[in-house]
Amino acid sequence: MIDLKNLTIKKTLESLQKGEYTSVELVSAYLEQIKKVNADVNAYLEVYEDALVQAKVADEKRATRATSGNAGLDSVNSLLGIPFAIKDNILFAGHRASASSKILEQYVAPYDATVIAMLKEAGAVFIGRVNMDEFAMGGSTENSAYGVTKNPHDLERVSGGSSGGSAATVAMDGALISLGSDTGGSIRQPASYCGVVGLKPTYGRVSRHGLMAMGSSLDVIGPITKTVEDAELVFNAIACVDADRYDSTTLTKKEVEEMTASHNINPEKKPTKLRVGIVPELMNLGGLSNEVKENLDASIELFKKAGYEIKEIAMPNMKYSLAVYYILMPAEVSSNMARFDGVKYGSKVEGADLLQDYLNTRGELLGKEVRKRIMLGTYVLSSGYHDAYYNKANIAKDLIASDFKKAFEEVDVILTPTAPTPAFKIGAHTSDPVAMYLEDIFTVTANLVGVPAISIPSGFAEVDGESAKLPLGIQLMAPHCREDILFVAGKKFEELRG
Amino acid sequence: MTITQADIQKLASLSRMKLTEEEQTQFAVEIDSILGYVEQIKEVSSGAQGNASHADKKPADIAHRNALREDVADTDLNPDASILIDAAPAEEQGFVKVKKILG
Repeated sequence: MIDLKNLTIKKTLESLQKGEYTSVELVSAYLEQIKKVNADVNAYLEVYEDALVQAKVADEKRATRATSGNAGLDSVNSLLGIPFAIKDNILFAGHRASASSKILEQYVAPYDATVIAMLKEAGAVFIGRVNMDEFAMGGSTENSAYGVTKNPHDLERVSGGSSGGSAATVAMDGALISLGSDTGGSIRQPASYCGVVGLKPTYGRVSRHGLMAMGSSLDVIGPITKTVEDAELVFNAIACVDADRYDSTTLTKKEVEEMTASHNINPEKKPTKLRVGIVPELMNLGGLSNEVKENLDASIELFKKAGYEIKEIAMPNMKYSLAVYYILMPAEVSSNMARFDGVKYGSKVEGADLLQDYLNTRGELLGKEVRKRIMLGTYVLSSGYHDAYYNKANIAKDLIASDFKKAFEEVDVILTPTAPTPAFKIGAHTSDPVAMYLEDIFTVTANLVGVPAISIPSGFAEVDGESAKLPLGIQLMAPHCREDILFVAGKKFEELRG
Repeated sequence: MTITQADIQKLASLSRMKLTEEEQTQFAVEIDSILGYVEQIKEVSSGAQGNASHADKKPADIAHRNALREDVADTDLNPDASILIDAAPAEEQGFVKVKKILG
């Protein structure tokens, strides 16, 4: 019996290496667990038929390496036999990818996303694809065409979103690791709701090739894991320069070096004394629950205990982040979603002529939230409103970016709650889009500015009159390309929480 | 700013999407409430543009650089064309099939 609850990448690789169990046995254990809990949680949309075949290949590879005297792990096989779940908007050649939409119900990926190709190279095994808000638009997976993913900690509550299936599956031991995508908090917020770790890398540090586009200036792929160390290992395996081939928005080697050097600190140097910025004005924004506030205070105390310096910083323009996001993101959505026209891929609803084909296909096969955002984007980009919304939002975005630049002259990392509340009840926000969007208030900023951010479990909230305890998370943000600072601070935080 | 049913119909038509009447009413209310929320960016002064000079902002620099590769055919870059054609909802003799475009 494999103890799935307490596995990490390192432990798993050791056990596989020692022959305590095989990849096939490990994947079988996950498949058993999925059989047991997925009917309640609804994290998996599909378990791949070839999951065990992939595991067998990993076992054979390990055996060959052992006999050839090359048993150690190197970068090529850094994740040999590690089971992953994939968010349904990332392409894995020959396998279905629907973005949890009806319009792509039958779509089969024609090629591998760069992250998938890199993970294959590292020896990962892909168990299946997991649920999400349709085309990653939402914060609860309630917008999936295939039903909501429930929170493993309380089945009456949402798992968060849009990578709700990715977070829930790690929380329910349905996979050791999952991949998510984050446009405004879609990795971090569900990770916080489900009590797991979620990393949004620096924009451009991980290739978006093979990720279905939502907001192209914001989208990034990242891991959801149980520990910060696992997030670091997966990040190291998927970070790359893809600018000369598939994704021209990935950073070049030179850019990565320059950005890394521009914040002059070595977090590995002992004793580590990082400067942690907190933003008092953010605490006054509406909608912040008491449990979250108290939990943040407790987290600040932990960092003080670690010998870190806590500094109050001013971010005068951060309050506009959510408004800026809900202008720029729909604007990009409205153009990215134009490709779903019933001609090139996916399903189609026939009409009398080509125009009717478009109207029917998009009207009937795209869900409400997707259509709402397309129309919102069309509105803010339309002549007469372009200056008032889109251009203004870009100006505000630059101001927010300069707030960050100034802040990172004084601190190494910025600490906020990940979300203003613990996971909410299914259906709680369905009639009020703004209340739903407010759940993104702490996370969208990192996407607008492009900095890396991580959500780490920070405790539980007890909700009146309910037996289940709901997980909470803190968010750490670092300067561009300084994921290393997040990992050092994050591991320290985990260690102190015990 | 109030979004009317007529605005919604125009947006739906521009975005090539059919909406039911019920959806039109619902979207008018919801889009109105979202626009009500994002209104706050009007407080940001347009003159503020000068504060965020180009030299100041890294992400924008990234957005504005060219990333070109050699203009050579690389078959590795693309999967077999037939796989892509197969993904289309309708095909005929190896072509994607669409309805007549010109009247």
